[in-house]
Amino acid sequence: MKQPEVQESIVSSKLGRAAKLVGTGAKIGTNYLKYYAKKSITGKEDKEELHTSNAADIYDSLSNLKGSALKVAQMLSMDKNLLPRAYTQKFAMSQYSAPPMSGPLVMKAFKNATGKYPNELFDTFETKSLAAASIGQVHLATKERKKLAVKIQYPGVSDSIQSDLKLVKPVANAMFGLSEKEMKKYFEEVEEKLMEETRYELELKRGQEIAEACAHIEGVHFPQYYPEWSSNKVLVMDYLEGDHLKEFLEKQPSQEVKNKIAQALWDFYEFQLHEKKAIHADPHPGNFLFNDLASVGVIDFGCIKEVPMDFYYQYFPLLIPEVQENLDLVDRLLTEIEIIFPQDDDKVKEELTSAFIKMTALLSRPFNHKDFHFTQEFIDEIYATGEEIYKIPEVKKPTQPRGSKHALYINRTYFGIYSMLADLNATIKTEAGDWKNRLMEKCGI
Amino acid sequence: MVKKSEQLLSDKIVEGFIDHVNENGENPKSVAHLCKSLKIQESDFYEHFSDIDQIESHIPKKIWENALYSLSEQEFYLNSSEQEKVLSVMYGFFENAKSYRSYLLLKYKNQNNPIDKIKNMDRFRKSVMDYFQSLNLESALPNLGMPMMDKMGDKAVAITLYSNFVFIFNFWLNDKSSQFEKTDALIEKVFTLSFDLMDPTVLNKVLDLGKFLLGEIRK
Repeated sequence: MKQPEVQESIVSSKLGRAAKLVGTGAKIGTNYLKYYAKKSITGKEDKEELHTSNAADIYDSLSNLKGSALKVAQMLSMDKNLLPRAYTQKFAMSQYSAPPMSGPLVMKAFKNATGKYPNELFDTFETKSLAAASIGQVHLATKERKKLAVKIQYPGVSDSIQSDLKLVKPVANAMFGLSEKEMKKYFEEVEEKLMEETRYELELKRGQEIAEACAHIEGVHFPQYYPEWSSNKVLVMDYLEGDHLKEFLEKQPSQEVKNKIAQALWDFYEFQLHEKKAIHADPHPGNFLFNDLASVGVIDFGCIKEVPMDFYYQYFPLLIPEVQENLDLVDRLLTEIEIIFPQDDDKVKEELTSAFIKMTALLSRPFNHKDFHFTQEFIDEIYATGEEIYKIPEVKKPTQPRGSKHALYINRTYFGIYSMLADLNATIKTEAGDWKNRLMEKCGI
Repeated sequence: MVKKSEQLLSDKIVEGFIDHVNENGENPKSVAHLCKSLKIQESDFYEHFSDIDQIESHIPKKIWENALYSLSEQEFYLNSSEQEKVLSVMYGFFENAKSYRSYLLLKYKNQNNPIDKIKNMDRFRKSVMDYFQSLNLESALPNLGMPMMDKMGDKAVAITLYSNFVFIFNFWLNDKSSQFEKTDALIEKVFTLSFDLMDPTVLNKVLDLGKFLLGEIRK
């Protein structure tokens, strides 16, 4: 496979992105042309080669993309372990990126959303942005000596998400070798989540709910939100002090502090998933602020995955060793979450089942230990297993879409948390809580 | 005091005119007709306007001047760079124009001519051009001091900005996005780009191409 070239510039304009995607389309087309030419000469199908060259071109193209198109590609590829590790990591870090808004546009967007100029509401307001948020930018303001973070959405962002999605669809379909119709359910899930992120009033409500529900968890804290100054496109919250993970680690905190923080993160996600059945599904390093008091501030509740109960009862029992050993039960659960289908032939079924169980056993390892040490080796093992599974023909070139759409965001979330815990090199208490017994009871074991 | 009531009367005439156009889809048939519906003396009308056409040309100009006026009280506007001022005025204009949108659509949408070619737009054009020329654009464009630009003068820059504005105005007339946020996005992109393009090194190349093409056409 050809190595992707080093990325020189980010194609940022819509036109540029379109051109890039058209470029990919053309390249895929050329590869098909080569395939047919070769077939007509040798009379032999070499679909393997076709797939390899397509994949290489797609990687080249995707690494030049930004914006929601990239986010979609990221979501879908992570789930399927389709992309090599270098890309997955790059994608995990990716953010929606637009040129920063000018001062006057910030004023206008703020006034459009709230009916007032920022200086009428706050004591001070910085027109230069502090940071780019996923679909807007964050400005620092003060009111009565309190530091506030004001998130302002880019005008017209929901339209740009939709046009980006239209652009990426054909490429994504080609990536998976599935038709638009077969890919539809995954796209809908991603589109729905991306559109939810543009509704700041929803984010405010969810942020308040989660902060309240998780107030008892030691070592996590949340900003207070200010509905009276917020709207659907402006979100005002406390400014949280703290460093992003990378900067935090550069200060060389003690392992004790790192473990404490890691434990807090773990407890936070365990509680969300198994008690609230709704998780903060954007574990981007930029959304966590670590401070010297061994506490982590969680921001950005734009992307919350609500876990449907039926899916919860179908998917999570698979993390339990006793369930993994019960082949009939595994067969039933995998059929319910559409990893395998009744009409699959035995060989395919067997291959997929053992691959899935292998992966799940690995991912659920922390839950089945009293204490667990998250290391880079553990993450490497997950990647290696993913790459191995990807070699299975039915995974690589599926004859039909496999896997529940709900798994997309849950997998992505756990992937993100495990990576952060490994960066912290943390040893924490990870043993499954009450939920394990509840799920076993539900499954009748 | 007299001044104030006169000001009010001219506003009253403008409002009456706009109401009439919005309700009937066309101008009042005569000054007398408009005055009758407003219950004012025709002679009072001529204190402010010479004919119906003049009211028409007054309206966009008034929207523009109101935008400038309300910004002149904003601290952030006064402290911003020339380039940011241009953007603020654009946002301000379209913010104000919202209140007159129905009227502006009736008058300027689906015209055969672009809005700046429509009759009665001279006064509006002049106000906008005066404003652009009043800006200290040399500070916004550090390279403007080059000899080529000296000849061109601020007027060429003002014309460029004005034509951007006309382009955006036409876009706004057709904009269906909520709160016309697409117009906002366009303003940002168009003006940022044109300030970038106004770098004389780029402009010289454009002019060079223009001269070449002109020469070819003349042949």
